[in-house]
Amino acid sequence: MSAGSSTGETVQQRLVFDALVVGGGIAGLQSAIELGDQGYKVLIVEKAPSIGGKMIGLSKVFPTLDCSSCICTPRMAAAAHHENVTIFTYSEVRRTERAGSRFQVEVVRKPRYVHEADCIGCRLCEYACPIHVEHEFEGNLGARKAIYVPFANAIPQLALVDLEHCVFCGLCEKACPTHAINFLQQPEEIAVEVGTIILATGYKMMSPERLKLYGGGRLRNVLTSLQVERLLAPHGPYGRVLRPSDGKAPSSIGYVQCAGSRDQSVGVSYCSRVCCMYAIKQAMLLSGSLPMVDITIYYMDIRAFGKGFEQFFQNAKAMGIEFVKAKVGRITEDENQNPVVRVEVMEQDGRVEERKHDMVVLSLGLLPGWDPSGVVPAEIAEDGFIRSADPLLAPARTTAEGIFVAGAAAGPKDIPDSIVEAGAAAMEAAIYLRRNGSSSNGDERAVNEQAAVVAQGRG
Amino acid sequence: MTVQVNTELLGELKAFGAFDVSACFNCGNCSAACPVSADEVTFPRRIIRYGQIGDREHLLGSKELWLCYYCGECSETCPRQAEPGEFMASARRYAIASLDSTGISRLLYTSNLFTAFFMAGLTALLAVILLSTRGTMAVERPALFGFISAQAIHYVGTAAILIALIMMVVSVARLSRLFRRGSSSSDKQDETGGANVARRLTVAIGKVVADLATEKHHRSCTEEAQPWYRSRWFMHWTIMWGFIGLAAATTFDYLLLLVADKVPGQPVPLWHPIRLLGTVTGMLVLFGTLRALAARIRKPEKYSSHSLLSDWLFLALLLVATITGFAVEFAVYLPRGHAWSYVAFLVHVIVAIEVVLLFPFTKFAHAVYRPMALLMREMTRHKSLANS
Repeated sequence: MSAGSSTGETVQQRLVFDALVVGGGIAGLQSAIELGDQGYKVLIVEKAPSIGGKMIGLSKVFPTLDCSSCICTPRMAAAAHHENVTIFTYSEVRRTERAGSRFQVEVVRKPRYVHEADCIGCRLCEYACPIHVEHEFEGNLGARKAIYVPFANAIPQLALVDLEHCVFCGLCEKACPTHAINFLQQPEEIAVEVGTIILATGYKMMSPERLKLYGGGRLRNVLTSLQVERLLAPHGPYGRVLRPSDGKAPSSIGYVQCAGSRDQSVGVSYCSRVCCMYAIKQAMLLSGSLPMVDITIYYMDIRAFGKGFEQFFQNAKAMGIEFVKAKVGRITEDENQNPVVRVEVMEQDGRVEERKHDMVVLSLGLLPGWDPSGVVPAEIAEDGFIRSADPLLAPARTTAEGIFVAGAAAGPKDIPDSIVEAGAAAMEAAIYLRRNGSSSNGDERAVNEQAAVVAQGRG
Repeated sequence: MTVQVNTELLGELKAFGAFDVSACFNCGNCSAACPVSADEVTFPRRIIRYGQIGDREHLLGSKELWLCYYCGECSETCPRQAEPGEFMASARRYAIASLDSTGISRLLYTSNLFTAFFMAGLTALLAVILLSTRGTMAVERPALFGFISAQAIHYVGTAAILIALIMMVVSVARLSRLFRRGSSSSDKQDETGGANVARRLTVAIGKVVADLATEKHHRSCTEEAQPWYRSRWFMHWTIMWGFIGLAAATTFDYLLLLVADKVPGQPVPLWHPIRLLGTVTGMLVLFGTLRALAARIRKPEKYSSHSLLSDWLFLALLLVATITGFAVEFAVYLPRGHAWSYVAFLVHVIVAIEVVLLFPFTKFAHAVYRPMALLMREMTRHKSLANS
């Protein structure tokens, strides 16, 4: 059906689902698939142009060193092809109102300036576009075009226009074989009625700009941990591990742990839980891709608390990765842009040392990804993450009835824990639906088939 | 050396400033962030550790206490917000109080009531002694020494300098003993001939003087981008060199009395070298104290966020002494004598004597302890370099 996206005007639609999942990262996808498998109709609303969240950008996962895309892509596909799951990408929840046990939700679909139903993901527009822009997905290390498919294994494989950088030269329009490009597309409001909501809004990384003594994001060879994930990924920006300033293969790398975690001076007093393990994992992977590299991890405490984590840590030590117990106080750079870290080494009489590396990685802490205030009636706790009503017995329940939380939206969490919690949230949501008389084969079936058609057109 | 844990030291230290180092988890961020801490001279974490375990001996014997300029970078970036910079400042106050055997310094720091009574009593006593010469306020021309006799000032001043000197000698002896005990054992191994020590000492003294003259380390404390004349090192530099200049001008003037038979109060032109030195350095002190007081009132940076009455006292005395000093200088060039000029003269003399008297009891004492610590650092650094 025509969703009006090509006419340039806002068209009101009304769709009915059993559950709304906010966020299409690994936790949201897991919740949606588990609810869908039980026969409930689920809508996933994802703000990015592709589902997959942070995980799809990672190289490998700890402590098994499995390929991240190899695990995440099948999950993405499973959700996208699920008969009971509808996905709105590049969309945001704007408002929620409680109506009895159910919710009236207003979703806004941002304009891609590409007609979704017509785009075949051939990328001819991308090849034609003359504008190169830093690629967010590659941690700004690589480039993309002003019209682009988000990344190689994005779902859906649809192009979108970055209007901020577009010069309206019209080359993409000429190149498009299906005439899908439409610069007049407008944001589209969709009214949705759902029985329950699962918040799986994830996390965002601490911004290096906030860490003044670590160079405030201005030192070129000081990378963030997510940038290193891309360097290590098989289809990453350089195809191998190089340092950004001069393309040299680093022979000495330093890891700065607790960069924006357990640090009240930047307002983050909690431990981000994953940084110790991802730093150890990256150090192992870097040792694999750069056999001659010396890696030093500067840490306050190594928190290897999960199943198999301690062994992983011991393996890293046995591989020759150096662990220095010291909080890095300052990072500067020398005339060749080699980062220099300043630490107080506490062994023996103790001394302040300045150690030069070719590249330094900030193990950045995790911050809440989204503040629901004014949009969804869930509360946030002091740390900014969504508050659990009962952290011990029902961690997936928020303080608002019928609204549940999964994954890192409730607090920093690794992938296995996020998936476990996503299942718990799906189960809580299913119980809530059943208790309030929503069966999985309700009379909304007809309406939802219509929605499925809409979603197919859009992916 | 075995150390007995003493849980009471932290409580004692708390009386000297506002901080909560019990929150510290010893990550070492402060030492690594500190622009002055380097090589084996590490602080504030080590000093905080001494405070936490109650190692009074090592705390007081740490030259590091006096090497800190309190730029506040450690406190700003402390992950536990344990205020390491404020701890260092409090530990310095504690050290000044501990090195003073009379207990007056401790009371000045910890009791505002005592400070008020002490200062009022001292001022009254000095006023009575100085006014006992029963001078007159001449109107037809300014005759300041007709109001308070030069001799009275000479005797009271000399007594004040002697008292301060004796107190400082005792404190310095105590501090050097503590320094020697506090320095690590490896520093003591190197026992070479006396000539070698003398040469090393000369080199070290040279370095310390150069450091003090240019405030090299103070300038290395990073600051927000601001012109040099607004920077903190320049503020300190003006107070320090202004004060030294004023002391020198006074000494030269006194020597002139002895050598050239100059009469006290004899008018000299404004461009007379000694008068000129006094005027210029007086302006430096005025600039520095006003800037320092403004910083303590407005608290733009971490270092000025906590002030004790004793900290205010020193700056206030300096300011009053300089302002009345300029008033007196202005008055002697007037054709007639005015009552206000005589009052200003009295206040100037009293406050100047108080500044001298309080030297060992207030933060002013750092003017001696700091160079000692710098010397200690240069000596031990030299040794460790020679050994390696």
